[in-house]
Amino acid sequence: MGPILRLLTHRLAISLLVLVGVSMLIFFVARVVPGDPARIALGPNASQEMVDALREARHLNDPIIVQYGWFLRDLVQGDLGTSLYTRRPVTQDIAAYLPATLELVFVAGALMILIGLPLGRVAARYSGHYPDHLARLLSVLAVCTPAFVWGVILQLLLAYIWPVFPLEGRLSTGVVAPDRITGFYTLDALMTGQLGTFFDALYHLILPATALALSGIGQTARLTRSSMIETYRRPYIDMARAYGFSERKIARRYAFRPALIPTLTILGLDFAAMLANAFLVERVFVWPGLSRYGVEVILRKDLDAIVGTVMVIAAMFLITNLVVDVIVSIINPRIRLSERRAKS
Amino acid sequence: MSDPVLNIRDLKLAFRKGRQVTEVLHGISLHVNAGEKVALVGESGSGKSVTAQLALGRLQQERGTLIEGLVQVAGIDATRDPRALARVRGHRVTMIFQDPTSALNPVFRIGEIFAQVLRAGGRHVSDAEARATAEAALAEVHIPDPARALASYPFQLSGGMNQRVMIAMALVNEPELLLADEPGTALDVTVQAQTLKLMDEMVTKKQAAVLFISHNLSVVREFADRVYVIYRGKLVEHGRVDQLFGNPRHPYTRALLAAAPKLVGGGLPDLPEHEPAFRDPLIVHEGCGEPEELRT
Ligand SMILES: Nc1ncnc2c1ncn2[C@@H]1O[C@H](COP(=O)(O)OP(=O)(O)OP(=O)(O)O)[C@@H](O)[C@H]1O
Ligand SMILES: [Mg+2]
Repeated sequence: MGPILRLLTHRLAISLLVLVGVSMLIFFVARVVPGDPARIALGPNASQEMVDALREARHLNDPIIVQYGWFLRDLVQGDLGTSLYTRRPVTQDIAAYLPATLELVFVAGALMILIGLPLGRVAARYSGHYPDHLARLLSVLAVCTPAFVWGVILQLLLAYIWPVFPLEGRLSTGVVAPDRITGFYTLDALMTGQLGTFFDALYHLILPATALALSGIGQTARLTRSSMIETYRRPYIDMARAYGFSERKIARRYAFRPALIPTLTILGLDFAAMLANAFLVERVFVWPGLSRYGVEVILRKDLDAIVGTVMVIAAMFLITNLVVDVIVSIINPRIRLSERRAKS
Repeated sequence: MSDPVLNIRDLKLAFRKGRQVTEVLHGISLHVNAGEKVALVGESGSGKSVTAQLALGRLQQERGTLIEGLVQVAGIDATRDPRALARVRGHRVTMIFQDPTSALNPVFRIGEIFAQVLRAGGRHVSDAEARATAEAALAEVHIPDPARALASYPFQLSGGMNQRVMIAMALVNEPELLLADEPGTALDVTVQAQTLKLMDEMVTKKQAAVLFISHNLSVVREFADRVYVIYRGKLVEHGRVDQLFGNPRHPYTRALLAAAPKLVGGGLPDLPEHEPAFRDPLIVHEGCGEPEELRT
């Protein structure tokens, strides 16, 4: 087994354990909160018999530990239960809402990398000069302002006062959503060859994704900058210069690759944090993502849906970390090779 | 006699930080002829490394440096023509560092770094050619399994192995001048001695000239033809190794010699009693004057 594969299986096993832990925690916490989910679901006009029947049907009268047993049994079959609110399987609900959130987060993540890294690199290159000060100012501003505040500001400026971008939603009214393949409107539109729909979807993504990405962009830029400056002080950069490696090559490859290692780890955390921040940004832009669903089910104490939503978000978090770990270990041979030594 | 490969005339260097200007080199002149091994010896902070950096043309491009005088490397004026110097770095002029392991980028394989070195000065070398040349170069410095060393990362090799790699890289392009700034002082003493011997053997074989920088006179004795002694940014004595060791004339040189065994890993104590002598003109031993054509 290759070292990367070994790392992957190892991390996957740990992730599964974490996920089970999260499920337990949220399962019990959700149930301890006062309020009868069956009563909330059926409304104040339902008779006590109906409420009791529903409680019985959903095993709500069993001891919590037994309920958790039921939950686990369903879970291994890929069943997260049924929402009391939408009356559909939770997995189906999540599958309906998750792609919108993921699309938003992925675009924001791409912005974070595509803008944050080069910005940091330029700032490092001109450290102490004008572009550096500008980049630093922007970074601090971006980091210190929460994503939803950016959302409101951007929406106000660029969608309301100067209506350059759409105010809200995933598509303009009148534009039909593309056939569902991935659930990402941009991808699905491209795959079905509907260019107009693709651009419309992209157009709607720009403001919320920017709002979501700004603090990550700032953080990435700052980190890349300090990491690059630190790397430039290393003897191997002196060596590279003494041996006539071009400054461009050093900036793009020779200094960049080692500088990327500390940045990437934080980048992964930022990316995961965007999943949480997405909730507020989605509310600002009326984005039909997991947030609307999440808030709704929590207010209704919709037990299965709460547990399912939290678990999916936790899983996203873990997957992100896993991907980052793999990338870091590809870039950093020290980790990759020590992993092998430790295991064999 | 042909032109020296390194020719430094009345070189002054100062660093400016804000309003404050610190003079570091107070007008030094030294030369290294083709194929010659010359040592520059002095205590910590005396200005040895900055001299090497000037010879590489590295300080010239930095802000806040004030440079006067001539630095000529392989016939190129390093101060007036930094671009031309940049083109010869890595093949006509190369360098060996104090700590070989930290001088090699930890996230690249030795082979990748080596290929980059072979491509110094914008020469085109295919990957296969680079590998073959690198393997041969590593075999020359007695690395047991060159292919494996090339596939390794620097942290997987010992310091001594990395130093051999560094020596191979420094000499593979057959440079005219090799700058060695306290090579291997970061290594342990026996390994350092071994690799110095190897370096000596290799530069002789490749007929490269060397400017060997050290604060340790005894190391220099076995290695160099000529020695310059530098003290606080000024040369105080200059002679052939036998002259300098047989008849040290400057009090600072004598102090260096007396302190030699203690010098490993440490500096010299301050020498205030030598201050008057410090103002003396440079002591030049017989036959070690500047090359004829340079006197004017
Ligand atoms: N970039 C720089 N900016 C300011 N001062 C510098 C710079 N580089 C060197 N100096 C100063 O110049 C003086 C000479 O430094 P240099 O590194 O040449 O000493 P050295 O003889 O190589 O000493 P060592 O044996 O410790 O390596 C020192 O006082 C040092 O502080
Ligand atoms: Mg030095």
